[in-house]
Amino acid sequence: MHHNKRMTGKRKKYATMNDNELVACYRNSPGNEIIAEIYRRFGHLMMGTCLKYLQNRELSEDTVMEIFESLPRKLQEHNISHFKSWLYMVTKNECLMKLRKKRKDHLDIKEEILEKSYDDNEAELTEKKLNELEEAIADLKDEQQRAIELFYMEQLSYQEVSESMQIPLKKVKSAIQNGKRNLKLKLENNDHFKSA
Amino acid sequence: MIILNLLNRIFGRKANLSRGDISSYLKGEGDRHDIEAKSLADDFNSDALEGWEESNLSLREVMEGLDQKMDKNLNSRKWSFGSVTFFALFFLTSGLLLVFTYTGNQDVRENEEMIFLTEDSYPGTEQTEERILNTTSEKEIDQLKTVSKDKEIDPKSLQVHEKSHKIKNTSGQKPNDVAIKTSPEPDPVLEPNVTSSIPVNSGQENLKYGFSDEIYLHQFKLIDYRSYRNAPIKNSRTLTIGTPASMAHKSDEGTEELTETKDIPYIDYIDNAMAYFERSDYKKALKRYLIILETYPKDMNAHFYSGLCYYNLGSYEKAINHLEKSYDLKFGNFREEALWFKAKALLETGKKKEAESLLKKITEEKMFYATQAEEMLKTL
Repeated sequence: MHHNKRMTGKRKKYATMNDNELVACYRNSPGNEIIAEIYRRFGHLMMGTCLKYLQNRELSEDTVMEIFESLPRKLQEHNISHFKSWLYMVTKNECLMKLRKKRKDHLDIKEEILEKSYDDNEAELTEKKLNELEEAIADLKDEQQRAIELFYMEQLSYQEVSESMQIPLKKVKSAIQNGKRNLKLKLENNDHFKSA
Repeated sequence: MIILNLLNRIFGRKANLSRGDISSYLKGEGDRHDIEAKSLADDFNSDALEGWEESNLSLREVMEGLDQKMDKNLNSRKWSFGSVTFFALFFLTSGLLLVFTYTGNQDVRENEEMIFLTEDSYPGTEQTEERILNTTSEKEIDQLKTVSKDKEIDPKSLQVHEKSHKIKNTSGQKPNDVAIKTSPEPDPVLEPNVTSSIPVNSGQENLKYGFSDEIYLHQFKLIDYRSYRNAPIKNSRTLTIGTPASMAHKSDEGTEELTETKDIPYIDYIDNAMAYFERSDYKKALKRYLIILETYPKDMNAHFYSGLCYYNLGSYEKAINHLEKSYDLKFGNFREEALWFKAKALLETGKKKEAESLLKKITEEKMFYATQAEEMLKTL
């Protein structure tokens, strides 16, 4: 698919569609070009996700291929509203299922599957929320607050934040992640922020 | 210091990480902040980046290999896709032809008119012009909250993935189609048999409880009330309700489905309810089941699934109440499920003894949930 001669008009058409349009299009008229386009958009993300969970290249490749083989059926059967998050779930579930087969008791699959990690983040940006955000950031623990400020306001990289704060890279990452989660919780408690 | 797009920076939707993004990140190049922000914004991005990072593989090399596999796979599949479709169409057409031949046009037309229930099986179900839930019960429902995930009955766990029984659902269609389409396509498997006494989903012989025909909407089991047309047919019997699920937008929640009324046949109405149930929108689903019960007070489908909705909304007493009504001697289809969920609801309300004896019964009679019941008994 990386060959140029396959760059047909159709392919160009699909390349301009957003994910949901693409899926709708597939449901109307299934075709391999659409599957290929999905692969172009997400193949490397799926592969990376599989690598993360399975930690094995061959197994990951097989898993990605299997998902794509089942995709035509799944796309027809499921009502998909957010394709990207759906595909992520499918990928993750597939990995977790493989893992469970390997070591049965160690993993509680259900929790992971049910976890709805995708809120839409489509909150409107209003002045009010911004004030709340300011307060919420101020309320964070020192380390999280500093990391959030450096990362999101100064737009530094993890490495730069790590140097500036003189803490290890891993700690930077978790400080930003946790800080972000706490911010969200705070804003949601204020109730203006609910997206769901 | 805080600029207006900070919120967006922290919580906004971000683009997918591209191959190039990841590749250069792995090499320690590229706009690191941008790539990190993208990964923080989205679990798919973040898992993928982590996976690549930890693997120490070259993205380019791995993906080139995968590209080739994918290419090969898609090209070899071209034919098989086509032939599958061809054969599917072929069998569908011949199946339809068979149905026509053996049942005759008359039958099919009756089917389209969607007549479900006889006077006998549903006493006191006169047709009414409008069905609106009384406001108190609606308010009550609105105040309920979905229970936490670990307590919730996952709708997916109830779905049956068995193509032969599945009626094509209508939810993917435009709203207009729902109104026009009065019946799912006739399906040979679903041709009514009147009541059969074969238990469909349990290996147990069940002499006491009758099983009527079932249909599957959104892969959920339902009793097929279309079988009951041995009595005189009344063409106009429909439930009067509002907007179909496919038309209801998330943004205008609340009353929309109740104010604008429209005639929708039972099967489409319950199909929409099942769609809400599938999406874990228990409140909307529940309202619909209750409206059905106002017209058909003994509707087993509505009793069973409203019981599950109440359960997931934390109203265990009401859940038990409806689950108890979801089966009788004639329509035993939901009995085994109902008893299991009733036992769970009893436990939630602290009625340990009742739950225990029920769980024992489920185990002893080797019902569908026998193993789960046995496990639960151990934990008591």
